[in-house]
Amino acid sequence: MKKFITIASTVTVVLCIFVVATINLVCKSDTGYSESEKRELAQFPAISAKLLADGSFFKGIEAYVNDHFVRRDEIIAISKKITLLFGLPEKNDGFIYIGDKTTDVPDDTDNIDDKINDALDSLTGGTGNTDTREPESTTEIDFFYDPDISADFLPNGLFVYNGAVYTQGNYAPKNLKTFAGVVQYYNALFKDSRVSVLIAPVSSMTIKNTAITSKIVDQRKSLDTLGSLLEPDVNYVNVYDALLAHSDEYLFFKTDHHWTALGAYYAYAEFVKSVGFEPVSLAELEKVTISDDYHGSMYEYTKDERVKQFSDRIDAWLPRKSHTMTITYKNGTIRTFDSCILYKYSGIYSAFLGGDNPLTVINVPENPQDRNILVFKDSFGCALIPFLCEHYGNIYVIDPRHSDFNVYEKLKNINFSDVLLLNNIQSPNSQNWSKLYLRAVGVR
Amino acid sequence: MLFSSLTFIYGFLPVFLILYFAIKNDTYRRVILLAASLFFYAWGEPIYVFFLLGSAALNHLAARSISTAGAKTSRARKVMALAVSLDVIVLIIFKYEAYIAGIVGHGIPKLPMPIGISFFTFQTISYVVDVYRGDVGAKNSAGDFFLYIFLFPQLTAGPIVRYKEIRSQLQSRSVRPVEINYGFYRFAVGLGKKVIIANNCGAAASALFARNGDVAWLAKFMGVVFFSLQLYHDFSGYSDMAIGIGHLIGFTFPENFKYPFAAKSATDFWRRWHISLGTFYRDYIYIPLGGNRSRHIRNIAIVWLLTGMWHGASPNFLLWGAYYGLLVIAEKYVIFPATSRLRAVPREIIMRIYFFVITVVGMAIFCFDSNFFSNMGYLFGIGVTHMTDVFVNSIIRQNAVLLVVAIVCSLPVIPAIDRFIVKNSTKKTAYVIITVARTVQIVVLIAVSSVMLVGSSYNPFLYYRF
Repeated sequence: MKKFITIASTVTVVLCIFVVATINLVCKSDTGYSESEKRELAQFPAISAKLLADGSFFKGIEAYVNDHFVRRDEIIAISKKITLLFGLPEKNDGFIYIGDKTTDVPDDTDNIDDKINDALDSLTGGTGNTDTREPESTTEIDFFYDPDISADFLPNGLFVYNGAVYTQGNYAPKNLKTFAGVVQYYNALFKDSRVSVLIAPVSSMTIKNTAITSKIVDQRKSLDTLGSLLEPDVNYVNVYDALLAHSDEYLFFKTDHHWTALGAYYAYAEFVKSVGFEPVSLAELEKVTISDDYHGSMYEYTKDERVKQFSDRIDAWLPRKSHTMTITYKNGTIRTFDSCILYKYSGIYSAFLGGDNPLTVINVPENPQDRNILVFKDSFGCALIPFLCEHYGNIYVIDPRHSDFNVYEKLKNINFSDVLLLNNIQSPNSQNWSKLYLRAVGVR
Repeated sequence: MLFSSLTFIYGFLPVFLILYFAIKNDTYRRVILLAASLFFYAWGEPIYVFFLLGSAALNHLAARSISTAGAKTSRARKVMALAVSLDVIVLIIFKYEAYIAGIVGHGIPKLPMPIGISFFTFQTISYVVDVYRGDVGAKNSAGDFFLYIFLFPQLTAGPIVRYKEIRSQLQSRSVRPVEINYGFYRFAVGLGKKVIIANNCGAAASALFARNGDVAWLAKFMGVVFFSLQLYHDFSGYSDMAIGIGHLIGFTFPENFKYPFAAKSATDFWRRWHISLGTFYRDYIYIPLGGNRSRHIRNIAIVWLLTGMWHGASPNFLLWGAYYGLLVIAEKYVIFPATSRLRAVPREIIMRIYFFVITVVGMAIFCFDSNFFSNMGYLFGIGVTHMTDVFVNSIIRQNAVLLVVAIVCSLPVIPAIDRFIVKNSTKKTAYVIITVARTVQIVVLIAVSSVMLVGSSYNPFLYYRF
């Protein structure tokens, strides 16, 4: 009996391991891309002497094995459920802190401020000579820079509270100062345009619970600090109070880090008032629902069962003036659409403006064709820009993460009455965005 | 390669077991074992593997030369001193270069450390010294030595094994099914400790330590607690896996951990934590220096400073070693004598509280390798602005069950259950119950660990620094 039990035990264990190993060997999943992780799954590495020598060949095999385990997605979901067993059931106030698992962009030791000063000097001739618009020299700098990494990193972590996922803002005075320097450069470069800066706060601004708000980044302070660092002739649009006045409305998504079109609308109203236009009222626009069961970036990022229970609705207000949108994609193809909100094609946030692309041009024939605006933005801009169709003849949209050309040079011949830098609060607080902005106008 | 990886569990291990058990011939088995071990090491260190081979060859030649000269002769002593010095110098260079380069700054490239260099070096040193002392037979083949050094179960993270402990097993091994069972059991337990408990305790500690801005005391305190549990389960789990795989192929490696958190004093703790390191220092440093017969305090101090230094280059590790050295001395000459006059129950309570406090502080010293003074200050309440807050509470709530499980698993619960079963049933029934229970444990632990390995990319190998 003892012997039988012993052998049975051994056989059971060995069988389990060998069966799983064999299944993995035999069944090859052919997916190369993970939708939920938004990345390519590791491919089996090619053998080369170099890869063997530095160990990356073997690491590549391990990455391949990890990425191609049979039924990987289902198993990941199970592992998330197991993780929930580590904790006590949720309390009534539903506050759950989810740490930040993204690899933060490393603190760079390059002094961007010097680069900016050099570029400003060559632009203005050093001692206040503002005749020339051309930067005379572009210093070639070795930035740590990967244009493909998303600069929408999530410092300080996320938390779940009362049925929504909140991101925290960021407040890094040193980086704000650098960003202010970048704006100063843009102001000097686009000296015939009115340069505006609009920084969108993120969802945690709407929380009223002081036990929470006392422990998170003070976004008002962050936005005010940036404002105080900018030159007086830069049009700084501080939308914090405008949004706060409507904080009980659906300004931010519950499962996505973006603001809704409604939140973007209130910010838009502040901007156009500051440049002398009357904001169009929502009642005058046609409202469509792009999706009524949207689970956005925060769900994808956490794959958290609790987050899955919340659901978002994406509303959009279509511009009332007819217009066309032409997108130049990263691979060079160009497509034109009859609306800047692609609700017919897409049920997610990227329906706004067709997502983030190198260059997007919106043309509104019935507006004065010499009233043009150049917008540099991150993904928050997508929800706001459609409202600008009310006022501008041409809207040029640049996403500095994806544009690898010198925007200034390329669009030199266009007269922009307005240049708008439109980002969410993470961007001016990150060194990486300052680098992106400099790169966009040829300062490398 | 790590044991706690899908590649090892479902790739290397099955292939290796098939090859190993398909061949019955002892000599071929040794070849397969050595080849597999070299492959295992080269997987993580494709260049350094040659360096290790070279070092092993040199040490073997030195040992040969020593045994030719004769044990404990003057010439043998010179060769031994040379070999050991070289080993130590190389180890120090690897361990400290990166740290010093970090301080000095730009210009100096950081030398990456070969995985397991500390374990490897201590084993070569123990071999050379044992040959010099005549404790180990004179005519050891190169094959035996290389197999001893490169044996993949314990090469990367211990335990530190002495040649004579496994000498006969190097030649030939026979494995009975009951030993295979036990091997899988130890492996599964180690895997579970590492993947299920240690990795997640580490994540909790990171989340608590990452809180910037206002410092909550509970964040620092619980951060140290979770870190301690991570450290224990990570290291002891790895030793369990090593011992388990050893059993699968017929090796009996010494235990490295004996429930250290059940200890009652620092002295007791160090008989239970990283035992193979403690015995190494005892046999090769402490006793040769005179042990407790001459210059006792100096010998203790040296051993403890070396213990600290073995764990890391930054100063906090040195302090950690000194801390435990002082405690051990204080216990021997002050604390034990003082408390021995108490009655049993008060003594037990006092010692348990004492042990808890010194362990938390000790683990904090080990943990804070940067911002040491401000972090230690926080632990004692200096500089904290509040006890706790919504965020800290949330992190602890989300890991409360894990905390309890980690603590329970660090205490000798399973041995107690085993003893209970054995006491209350016949030998045969006990065996059946325990075997069935263990089989279920093995399957569940490997399954859950595999699920978590797939689910996470966060799999830090804490003791890679060694």
